[in-house]
Amino acid sequence: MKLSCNKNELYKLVSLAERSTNKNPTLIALSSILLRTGKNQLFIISTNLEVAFEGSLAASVDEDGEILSPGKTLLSVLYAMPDEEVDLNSAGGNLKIVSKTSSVNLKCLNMEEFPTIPKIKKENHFQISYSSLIEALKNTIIATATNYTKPELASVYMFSQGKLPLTLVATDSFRLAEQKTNITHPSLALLLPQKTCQEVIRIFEDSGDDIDITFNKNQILFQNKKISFLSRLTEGKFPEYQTIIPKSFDTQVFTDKNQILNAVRAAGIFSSKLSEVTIAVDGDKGILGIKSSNAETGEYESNYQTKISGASVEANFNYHYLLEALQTISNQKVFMGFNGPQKAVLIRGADDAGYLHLVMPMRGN
Amino acid sequence: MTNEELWQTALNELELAVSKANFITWFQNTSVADHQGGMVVLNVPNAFAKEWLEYKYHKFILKALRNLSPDVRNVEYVISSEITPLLQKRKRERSILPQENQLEFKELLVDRETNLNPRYTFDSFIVGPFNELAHAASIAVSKNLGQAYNPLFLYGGVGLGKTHLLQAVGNEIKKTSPRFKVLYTTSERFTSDLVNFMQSNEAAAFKEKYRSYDLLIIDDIQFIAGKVKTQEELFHVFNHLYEASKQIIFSSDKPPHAINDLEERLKSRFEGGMVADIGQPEYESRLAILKSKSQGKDAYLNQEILEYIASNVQKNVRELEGALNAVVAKSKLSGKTLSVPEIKEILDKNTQPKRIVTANHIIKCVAEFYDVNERTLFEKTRKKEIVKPRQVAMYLLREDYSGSYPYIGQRFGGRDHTTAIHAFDKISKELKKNSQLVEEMKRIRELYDYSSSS
Repeated sequence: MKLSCNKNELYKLVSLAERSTNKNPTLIALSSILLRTGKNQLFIISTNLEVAFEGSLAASVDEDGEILSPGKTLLSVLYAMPDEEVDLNSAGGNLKIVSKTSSVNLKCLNMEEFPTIPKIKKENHFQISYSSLIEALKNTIIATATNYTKPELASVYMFSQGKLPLTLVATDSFRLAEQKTNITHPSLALLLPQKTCQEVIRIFEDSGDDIDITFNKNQILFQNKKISFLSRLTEGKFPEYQTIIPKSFDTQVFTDKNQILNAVRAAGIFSSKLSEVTIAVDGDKGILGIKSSNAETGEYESNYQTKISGASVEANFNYHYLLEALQTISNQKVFMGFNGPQKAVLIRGADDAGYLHLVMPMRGN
Repeated sequence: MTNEELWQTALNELELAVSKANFITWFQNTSVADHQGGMVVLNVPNAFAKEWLEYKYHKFILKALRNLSPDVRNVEYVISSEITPLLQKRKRERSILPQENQLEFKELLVDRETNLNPRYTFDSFIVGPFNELAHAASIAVSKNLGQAYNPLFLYGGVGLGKTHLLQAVGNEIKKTSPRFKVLYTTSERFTSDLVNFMQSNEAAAFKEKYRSYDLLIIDDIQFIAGKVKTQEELFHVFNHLYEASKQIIFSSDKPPHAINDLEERLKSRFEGGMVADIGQPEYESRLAILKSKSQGKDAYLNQEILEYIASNVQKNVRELEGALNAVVAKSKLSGKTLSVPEIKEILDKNTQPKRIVTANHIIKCVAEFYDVNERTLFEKTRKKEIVKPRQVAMYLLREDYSGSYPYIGQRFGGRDHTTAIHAFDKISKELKKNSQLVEEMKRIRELYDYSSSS
C-alpha cells in the first residue's frame, strides 16, 4: 500500500473510527483500525461487534493494499503530526507514516482476524436530512434510561406508520421526550441503542448531507457520501406510551424560555439532596413562582408575572429533568401544562407541535 | 445426546482448533436453536458473529458436529435476542439516580400482554390475621393452578390489598410457568372490551380471546351488577374456562350473595370455589406494614412515630401509606424528626375525617335499607319486620351517634330507656353469631358514609 493524503481529514476520520473500536477486547483485531485503498480514496474501517464504522477520504493512491493498525496508537500519532500532508506506506507488516518533518514506523497486526462487516440488503430504506435527524436524536436522547435493566428504555424509539410523521421518542419512565420529523415512512419500528444515537450525532452533526438509512430486523445503517455507520438494534418492544401524553390541562402557563430557564438554574443551586425544586403557579394572580430550599446552603425564590390560565398548582420536580427539558425547547416562548401536583407536566415550545417533553413530579408533602 | 450436550461437545473440540481470543469472541454466547433432519440451527449473538462463523468457521463447525452426530448435513446461523450483548454489562458514568420520591409513569410498568404490574408480588405482601386466609388461598392457587380452589373469590373493603394479592398470583404464575397465558383485567375493562368487539361485529373473537387464558383475573367484579349482556358473556367464559380446568380469580368489595343485580347462576358459580375475605388490619398488622414501608426512610422515623400512626390511621392500608409518606415528606422538608403533636396535625389534615352523622340520617338510612317507612319505626308495633330495623337503628344510634339510652328511647316514640338498652344488647349479641347481620350492618354504614360524603 502506498498513498498520500490530507492529514487533518485522515485524523478526523481516524478519531471517529477509534470510538467504534473495542477498548479492551479479547480479540486484538477489535481494537484496531483497518486502512484499505480504493479508487483514489482511502477507507478507514473499525468495529467492536456492536457497531461498525467505515469512512473514506480522497487520496492519491500509488499502490493498492490494506493494513490493520492499532487504533489508539494511530490516533495519537496523527494528533501529534504537525504537517498537512502525509504519505502512508506499508511494508513487511509495518505502516510507515511520513510527513515533511517527521516519520513514524508503526507495527501492525495480522489482517486475518479482522471481522467482515455485515451487509444489509437495501430493501428497507429512506432518506432524512441530517439536520432533522440530529435534532430529533439530540432532543430525545436526554430522556433515555441510563441503566440497562430495560434495554428498550435505554434506547430511542423511531417509528412511523402510514401518513403520520416519522417520530422519535424516549423515556426513562420519569420523563418522556417526543420529536416528530417532517418525513414519513409506510411502516417502521426501530429501537436505537443510546450509544448508537450518541455516535450518530457525533459523526453526522456537521456533515451537511442527507442521510440514507437502511435497516432490517437486527441492524441499521446510516450512510452519507463519505461515511457508513452500522449498528445493531435493541430487541424488544417500546411501551405503549401515547396514553401517557395528556390531552387537556388544568393549568396552562406561557412564559419566556430564558426567564424560566434562569430561574430553574438558580433554584438548582439551592435544591436539596434530592435535586428538588418547587414550581408554584398562582392562577388567580397570574404569577409563576420557582422555589427551592436547602437546610445547609440556603433558599431561593423567584416570582414573576406571566400568562396563566386555569387552577393554581404547586408541584415539585427534579431540577435536572426540568433544566434538560427546557434547554431542548427551540422556541423563545414555552408552554407548560399541569394536571395537579401528582401528574406529569407537559413542556413544549408555545407554537411548536413537533416536540414535547413530559416530566413526572416528585412526591410532595 | 441433547442439543445442549451436542453443542457443548462440539465447542470443546472447536476450542482446540481456534485461538483462545477467537474462540471467546466468536463462540461465546452461542447455542443450538434447533436440530432437525440433519439441519442444525445455531443462535449467535450478532450479525458480525453470523458473518464470521458462516464465512470463516463453517467447515470446522460442520466437521465437529458431524463427528458427533453423523446425520448432520448443514448448519445455519440465526441472530438471537436472548443473548445479552457484552457491552450492556458496562456501567454508565452519567447518571442522575432516580430518587425514592421521584414519581414514575405508572403506565410503563404494566406488562402489555397481561396487564400485570410487576411490583405486586407475594414477597411484598404483609400477612396478618386479617388477611391470612385470603393470602393462603392465593398461594395455594398459584401453586396448583386450576386445581386448588376454582374460582377463587376475594372480597374486602378499599385499600386492603385485594388487587395486590390478585396481581401477585398472576406475577407468580408468569415467573414459574412463563408459557401460561395470564390476563388481569377489571370488570369495567371487560365490559368495554365486550362493547368494542360487539361494535366491530366480532363477538366470536371476544369469546376466542377470553377463552384462551390459563389464568383469568377480574378485579372489582361487583361493577358488572346490572349489566345483563356482560354477565351473560362472563357466564359463558366462566363455564368454558372452568370446564377446561383453567383458573379464574375474582375480587369484589362484598361477598357474591351480597352483590345486587347479579344473576343467580353467576352468584352460585362465584361461590362454588373458595370465598375468602380480607378484613381491616388490626394494630399489630398495621405496625408491621408501616415498618416494611418505612424501610429506607428510617432517618426521620422512630418506633414512637410508627406506633402513633398505626394506632391513629385504622381504616385501610392505602391511607396508612399516605399518612407515612406525608410524615416523611414533612420531616425531610424541615430536616428533623417530627414530634408526636406535629404528626397529629399532619394526620388530621390528611386522613379521612371521622364519620359524622346525625340521628335523622341514621334512621333514614336504616329505613331505606330495610325498605320500611321511616315513620313506622316510631309506631308502637311489634311486627317482626319493623322490630328488627328499629333495634338496628337504636344500636347504630348508640354506636355511631353516641346517643344516650334515654335519648334513643325518646326518639322512638317515647319509649323507655330500658327498651333502648335491650335493643342494643340484643343486636350486639346477634352480631357475634349472625354473619348475615354483620354484612347488613356494614352496608347500612356504607350507605350513610356515601350519602354524607357526597
